Amino acid sequence: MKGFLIVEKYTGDAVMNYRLVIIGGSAGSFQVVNQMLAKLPQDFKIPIVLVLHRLKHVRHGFVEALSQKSNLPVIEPEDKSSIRPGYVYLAPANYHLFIEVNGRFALSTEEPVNHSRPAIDLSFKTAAYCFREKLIGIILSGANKDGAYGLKAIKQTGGLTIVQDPMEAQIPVMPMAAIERTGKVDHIFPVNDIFSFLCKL
Amino acid sequence: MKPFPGEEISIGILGLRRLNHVTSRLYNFDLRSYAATSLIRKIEAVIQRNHLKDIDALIHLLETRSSFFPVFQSQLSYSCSELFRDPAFWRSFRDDVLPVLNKNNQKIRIWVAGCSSGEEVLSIAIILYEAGLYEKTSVLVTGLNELSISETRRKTYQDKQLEISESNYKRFSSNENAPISRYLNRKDNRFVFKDELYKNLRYEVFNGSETNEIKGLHLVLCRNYFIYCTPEYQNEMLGLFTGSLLPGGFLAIGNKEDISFCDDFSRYLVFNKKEKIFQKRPY
Repeated sequence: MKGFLIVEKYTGDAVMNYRLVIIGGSAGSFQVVNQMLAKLPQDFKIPIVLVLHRLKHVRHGFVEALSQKSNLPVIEPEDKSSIRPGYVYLAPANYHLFIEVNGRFALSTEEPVNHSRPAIDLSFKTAAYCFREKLIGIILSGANKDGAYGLKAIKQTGGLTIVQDPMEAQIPVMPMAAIERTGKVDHIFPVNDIFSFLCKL
Repeated sequence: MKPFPGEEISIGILGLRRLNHVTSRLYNFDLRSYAATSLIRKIEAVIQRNHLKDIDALIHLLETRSSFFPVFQSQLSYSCSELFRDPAFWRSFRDDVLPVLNKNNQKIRIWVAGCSSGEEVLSIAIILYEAGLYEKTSVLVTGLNELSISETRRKTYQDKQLEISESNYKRFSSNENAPISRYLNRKDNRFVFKDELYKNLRYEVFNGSETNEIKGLHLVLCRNYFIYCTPEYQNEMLGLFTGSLLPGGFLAIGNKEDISFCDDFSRYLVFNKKEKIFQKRPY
């Protein structure tokens, strides 16, 4: 996987080189993501993958809405495209989004999982398999339990797990499920702390 | 909470290699043309569906019971779709592509390739029917083996399965008063699409490695098939489609699929960028 900029961060004595941030959310997460994209600096190099539940028949408009305040380019990845630093990738409508074993995106039209396509669980699980301890997984507000297994998979492969504080989330079901399923998530943060955490990377 | 699909079964790349060794050796079926992540998920689903313990049990079954192979192949290629997926694509197909195909008073020849579920075929049949072009069109539908073909050709649907198709169809036709149900017959508690729609469909087995080429086509419809192929195999298949198409013929792929990295990309013009419709250059 050439072409990745290695970003270093000190956690105690260990130097972490995160290569991907993957974020899952559903109802109540759009505002949070929008604010985040406005706060992240233009030179934020770690690629971000957004897996947000969305209306399956509305293919257009979401990227535009997210782009409005974003400092980073937001695009919907095409099948087999590579993951490049400095980009925000939004999972397209009516497909599952996988991180393929070669580190590229792959799409699938297999049946919805957790009534969702894209399913957060699938994107997280495949990203965990590929990026292991170089991965940060974040679960935001949402009204179903999609993403819980995915976050657990990230934890199991040594990645960093962050959940939006359920007390603060517009709808706490998704954060609660992720915390419960993962066991011990690394951080439970209100959104502002998530932003400043990412900005410090 | 239900268990995560496939959480208990983890086959990994090594398991895949051992399985491929068996399918290649015994059945001349090379799994290496499939994209790995999807393939692993599909194999995990096959293991669950057949109540097998693990990948070793699947390998053992394939080694000892050749009658299971077509079942395996058909379950592997199974996909669930909806009629009129991406209504905007079908509108463009109806309004922009069909008039071009209908210019000369010739028979229109269409290939629906890599078609593991019958919904794309039915969508095209309905459009041709409504355009009055059904009689002068021949539609070739190919599948990996006889079993997967027979499973897709007379598929029955439950009420609930048709909900998405119904709303897609309304978006496509922009006509609230013409439901898709007029193409349906009730069969016990399920629905089947009417015989007329199947009349000019020709089903054939096609496994990609065959040498008997399909020639002289006006349209290859192949949406959301390349997503399951490796880049190399996609490149090979696109070459095959290019060879099958007449100059000026059309190719339609899924709206998030990409052929720009393929050798034959330069042999196509972009006809509709958003809906991923390409036209083979006339020279």
